Amino acid sequence: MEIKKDDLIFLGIICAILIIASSLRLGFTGALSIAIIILVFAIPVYFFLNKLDFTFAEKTIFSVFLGLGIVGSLTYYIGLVIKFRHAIILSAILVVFSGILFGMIKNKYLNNQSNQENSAEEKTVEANNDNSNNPNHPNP
Amino acid sequence: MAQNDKAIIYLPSYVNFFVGGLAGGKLWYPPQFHTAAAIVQSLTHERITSIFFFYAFASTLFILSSYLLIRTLYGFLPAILSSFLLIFSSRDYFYHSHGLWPQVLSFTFVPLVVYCIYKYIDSYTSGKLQKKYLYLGSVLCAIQYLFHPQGTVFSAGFAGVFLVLASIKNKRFMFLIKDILLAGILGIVLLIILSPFQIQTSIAVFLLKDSPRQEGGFGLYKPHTLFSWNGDPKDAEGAVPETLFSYKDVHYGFWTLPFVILGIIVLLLRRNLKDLVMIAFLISLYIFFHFGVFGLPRSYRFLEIEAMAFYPLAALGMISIASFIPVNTNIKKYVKIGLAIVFIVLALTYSWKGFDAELKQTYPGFGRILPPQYQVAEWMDKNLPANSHTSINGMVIPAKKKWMMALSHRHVQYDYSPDTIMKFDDSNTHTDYVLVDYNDILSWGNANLANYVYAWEINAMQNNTVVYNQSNIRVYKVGN
Repeated sequence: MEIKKDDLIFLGIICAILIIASSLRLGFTGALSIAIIILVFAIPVYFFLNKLDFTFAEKTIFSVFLGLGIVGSLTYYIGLVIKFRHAIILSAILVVFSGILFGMIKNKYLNNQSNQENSAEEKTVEANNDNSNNPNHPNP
Repeated sequence: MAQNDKAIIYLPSYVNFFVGGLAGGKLWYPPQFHTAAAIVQSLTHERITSIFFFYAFASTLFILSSYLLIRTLYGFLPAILSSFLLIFSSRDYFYHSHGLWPQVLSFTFVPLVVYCIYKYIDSYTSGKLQKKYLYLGSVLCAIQYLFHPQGTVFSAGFAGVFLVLASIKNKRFMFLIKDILLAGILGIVLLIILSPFQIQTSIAVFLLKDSPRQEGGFGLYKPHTLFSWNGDPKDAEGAVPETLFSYKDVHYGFWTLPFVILGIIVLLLRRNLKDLVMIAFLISLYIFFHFGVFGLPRSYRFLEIEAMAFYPLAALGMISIASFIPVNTNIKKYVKIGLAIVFIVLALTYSWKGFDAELKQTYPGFGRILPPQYQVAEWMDKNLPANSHTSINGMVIPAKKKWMMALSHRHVQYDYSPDTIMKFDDSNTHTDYVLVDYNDILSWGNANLANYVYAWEINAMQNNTVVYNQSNIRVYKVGN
């Protein structure tokens, strides 16, 4: 997927503001908080969205918003059963894993579909060739 | 959740007392927002900074979502300019500073839902239908609902207005009813999966117990306010200051107004699909600002979204000035950059200065929890029984008592009347502890009030045992 220059500029500006502001005002906790938001919420969902046909900007921005809801939900329900901290890690891994699984299924489905389309095309070509050899065929 | 390293089904005692035992003590609000906050708190192993960092981050996400929408509609320059101006959006900051964090986060989703609906309609128009955007919009709406329902209500309202406008312009339906139904079902199913109990409870609360209508029920109230943009400030009396309805106050003067008007003129002249998005946005805002006219309360909360429509229009209006200048395309590029610089200078001169001054006035002096107060809250957390009730006395700002409850994880008795600095009443048998705090009064420098509270303390607490005595704060064990 092509990455637009203005997207990178904007992301760069946002990251720079976040890092500078958080380190100047809030020290290590600020920097760690932003790192957690990126690593736990955004990146796992980005993995998932990466398997879909979205632009770089869409994937980047949607992953932050969806991550807050999806990772938040998974962590809550898993956290009812196991320790909350473990649930956070497990949720992030689950989202990444489901992205990989989705990509594999999608590729397999697409490959099957394209194979079927190719074989159908081949059959059509063969049939056309056969028909063109047939003197009774209506097409010239 | 972060403190106990466990997700919760039942609310802690102090919250349950606070909400009056609603839903049998179960967590009745969708848990996603608080879980997300707890994730950051838990992994940083830090209680205060991490959580406020998360709230600030979540509340500023509208800058990012608005950027994506405006870049797609009008390109990089209007997008970066409007996003820059949105940093100084005082209404967004107002709701954030008043602690309505889930609502603020929910509203940050609005530009993304608008984006998804636009992309779906655009793909329909171009003949290359991309249903994924509609379904993604539906997922975003569902998540938005989990953070706060008001954001979803607006998103759905916008979708309706935009679909109608696009269909009218093209004189045919610009969407497939089957797609819309499927997207709606997807959203509802997702909501039920992600928050089954809480959705059930919140619907029951909405329909039965706390139906969000004005006292007289649905009807027509003050129809003359339909001729104003914002609705009636008196509908929000006691909830938000009247200045929140003033263009001059919330947008730091009128410098943006000519550009907003110019932007609207450009939209009305062009009226292409992209422009219809912003026109639909404005119409939706107008409708939602006037909910009060039909008996629905809290329409003033939608004011927060206004900047997400007005600031892109201001940027668009400013950049569109270049098209009125008769120069060739190459020079026009530099004219646009010049206009962008003027826009930034104006934003820094008026909006930044006003915003900075406002920020400096937030929670001034002893409006914040003072170190001795934080210290006693931590002591309460460790030493008082989980289901105890503490009456806080001597604290001048009532809202701080609410903060003391959150910090101590113990139920605190308080009310907002200014004349109840001493809350404790001997006849109140539900009070287990009485906290007398002089730090606010001493910071204020009010010696008369300090003497008055001291006289009351000596008299009312003479037969009770002191269990905490540090930094001008005493806690008494009262009752049995």
